[in-house]
Amino acid sequence: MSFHPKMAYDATFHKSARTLDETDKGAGPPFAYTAENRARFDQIVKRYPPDRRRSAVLPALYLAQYQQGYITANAIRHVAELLGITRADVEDVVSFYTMFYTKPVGTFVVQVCRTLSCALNGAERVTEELTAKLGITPGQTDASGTFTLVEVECLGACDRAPVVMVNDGWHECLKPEDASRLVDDLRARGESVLSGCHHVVELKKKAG
Amino acid sequence: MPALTIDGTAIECPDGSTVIQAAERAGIFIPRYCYHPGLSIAGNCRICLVEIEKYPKLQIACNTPVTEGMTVHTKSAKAEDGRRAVLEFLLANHPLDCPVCDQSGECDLQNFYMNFGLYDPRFREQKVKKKKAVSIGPHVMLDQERCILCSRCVRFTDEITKTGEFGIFNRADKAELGLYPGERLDNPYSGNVVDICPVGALTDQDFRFKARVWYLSSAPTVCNGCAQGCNVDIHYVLNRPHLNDGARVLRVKPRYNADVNQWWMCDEGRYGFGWIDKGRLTKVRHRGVESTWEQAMAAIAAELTKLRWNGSRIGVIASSQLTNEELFLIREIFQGALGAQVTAAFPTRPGFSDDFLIKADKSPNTLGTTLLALDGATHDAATLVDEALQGRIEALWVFGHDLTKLGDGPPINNVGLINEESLRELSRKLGLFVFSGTNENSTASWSHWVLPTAAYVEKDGTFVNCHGRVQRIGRAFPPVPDCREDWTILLEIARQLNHPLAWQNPQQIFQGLTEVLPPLAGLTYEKIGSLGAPLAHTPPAAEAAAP
Ligand code: SF4
Ligand code: SF4
Ligand code: FES
Ligand code: FES
Repeated sequence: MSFHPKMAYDATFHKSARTLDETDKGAGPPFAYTAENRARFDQIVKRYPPDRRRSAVLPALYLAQYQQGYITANAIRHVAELLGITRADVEDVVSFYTMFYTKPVGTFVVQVCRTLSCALNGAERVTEELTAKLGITPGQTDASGTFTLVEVECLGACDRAPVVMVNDGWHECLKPEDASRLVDDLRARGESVLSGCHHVVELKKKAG
Repeated sequence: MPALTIDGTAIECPDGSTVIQAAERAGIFIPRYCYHPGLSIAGNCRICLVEIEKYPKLQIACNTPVTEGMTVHTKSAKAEDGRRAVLEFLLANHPLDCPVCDQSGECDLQNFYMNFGLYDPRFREQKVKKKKAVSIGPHVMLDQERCILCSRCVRFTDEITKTGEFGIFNRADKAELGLYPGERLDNPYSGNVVDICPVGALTDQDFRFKARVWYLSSAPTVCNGCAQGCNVDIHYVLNRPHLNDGARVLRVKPRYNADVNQWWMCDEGRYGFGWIDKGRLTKVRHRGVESTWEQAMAAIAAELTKLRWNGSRIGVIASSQLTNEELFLIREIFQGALGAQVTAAFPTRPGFSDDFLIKADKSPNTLGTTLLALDGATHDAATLVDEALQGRIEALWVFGHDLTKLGDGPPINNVGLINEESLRELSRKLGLFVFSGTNENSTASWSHWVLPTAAYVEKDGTFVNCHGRVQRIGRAFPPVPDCREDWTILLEIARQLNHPLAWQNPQQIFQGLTEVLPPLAGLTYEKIGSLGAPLAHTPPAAEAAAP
């Protein structure tokens, strides 16, 4: 074994993983909350003491993402201005959380958990199936703009691994062979039959 | 006041102290990266782990409040193991640029590795690569790979300058320190982030690659950039003339003083030292021809003696860049013995100022001139020059000032106190025109005698800052050969004027000064020490001037 890994030095070697650029090209379309979202925003900031207004940055960014689908430099500027913090403060948060997208995403964002429990239960194979079915690799969006496939870290439902999250809903105990049906359901009806586990168990409990 | 034991030392400390502060009181240093006494606590680097009895896990010293009866071990095997592991993580993706890293020699990664690291590296994987040598502003260079994400610099720009340029972007091993796209780190205090960065991620563009830090010597002094008088250390090299074209001063670093500047200083003061090694006057000159100190002293004394019964025909424009000791000698000799017209009031334009450190008054010792009543109640530099132009003054001695400029700034509309033409006329009219100063300027070229003097880092003495604090400037290194401290010149002139003064050095002059100036009563160089001492009472003018 060679002691040193092979060093792939070239012009692009020392680079940043940041996606945001604030050139006119990267700043995205002009952004401001719609009247409705602005009203929501005003409700949200009321939840925080005036000197902790900055704490509203997460819900404020979610609002922006709901409105536009992804976060642009213009959205960051808008949120920063409304909260009275710097744009760097907002980008800190945007770039830390994988839930914020800095590029346009598909209608359905399919997020496969790749952390321990899910990995041990075959998450990798779920990803493979989805990749094959959708014809895109993790991180990509399909040509029609319907699906975006990403791998994410623990989704907090480890007891029902492997877990896939589509937009805001969980799909649990997914077997690799379910992947294809999930995609078809989403295509056909805009939603999928929940793989159930979580809800079924919970419903059963409630029922008695 | 909880009492606790740290490494077997019993110590009491104020309520609300943290373990790291308590340890400091007990003289025990706990390693730290993110903790800085001048900033809020982040607790993110984990290098300060200590073992506390009855706690199941190691705790971070910087954010654990002390409690009564606590027993802390900072050097136990468990604590050191924990810190070693933290260090191994911090260095996992570190480029180890030490041979080409400016921080080398004063790097806390190196230091702590030598103190308790010394493990065999186990990281065989490809390191994460980030941007290197990014100029992020006029003074600071960023190397993202070396950054350990302690966030000190982020907190500095958020809490101290409140400019908020920095952010930490992305997460995990891709996390990087940077600026928002399109921003620059361009605030009046940007250089401080270089000091607080515990590693070589933020380095100084001015100092970059000029010298290895282990060649530097350090001497405490006071910044002469404005009336605040920030305490600083001058870092210099004397024995390596092949470096930096022989420049001796290589950088200036702030020196902690709770009452003046805490840990900080401004960029103007930090990078304004170039004149100490560039454009210096190095030879005594008489009407453009090189002369000697002996000739100069004798000739000047002779001219002054001629006017000794006609003192008001002698004018002296002193300067608030001079020390109290020198101003006192000027007053004793010229005002006292000769009856000359002496002033240190020189019209200036107020410079940039803010509500933190930077003062509009760019002189370090304006209050000293006030104390000595040389601040121009009856006449200022302009009236003296006027009188000289009208022939009522025959001998004029200018200390440091360039008459064609206003203060240290560039001339307004290209006119200073007077323009070049009037300066030439002044030079023609005067029987004696002496310029003593450090650097070449128009006044030097038109004066009859040029006396090269020592820069403030080359001489001893005291300044009084705008808050009425007497501070000693020390003497970092001897003057450029053939330059003399102003006070030695003045003592020599006094001797030649048959008015010998008993003092031999600034310390003795200062003692003389304390005897005649009540606000200084009781002070000595020992009492002033390295951190200065307040005046016995601040003159009312100072109260008004100090914002
Ligand atoms: S930051 Fe410290 S450890 Fe890293 S390359 Fe520079 S000197 Fe070496
Ligand atoms: S650049 Fe230096 S001060 Fe700033 S976060 Fe990195 S290591 Fe800390
Ligand atoms: S590991 Fe997949 S949800 Fe926790
Ligand atoms: S110094 Fe305590 S966690 Fe960084």
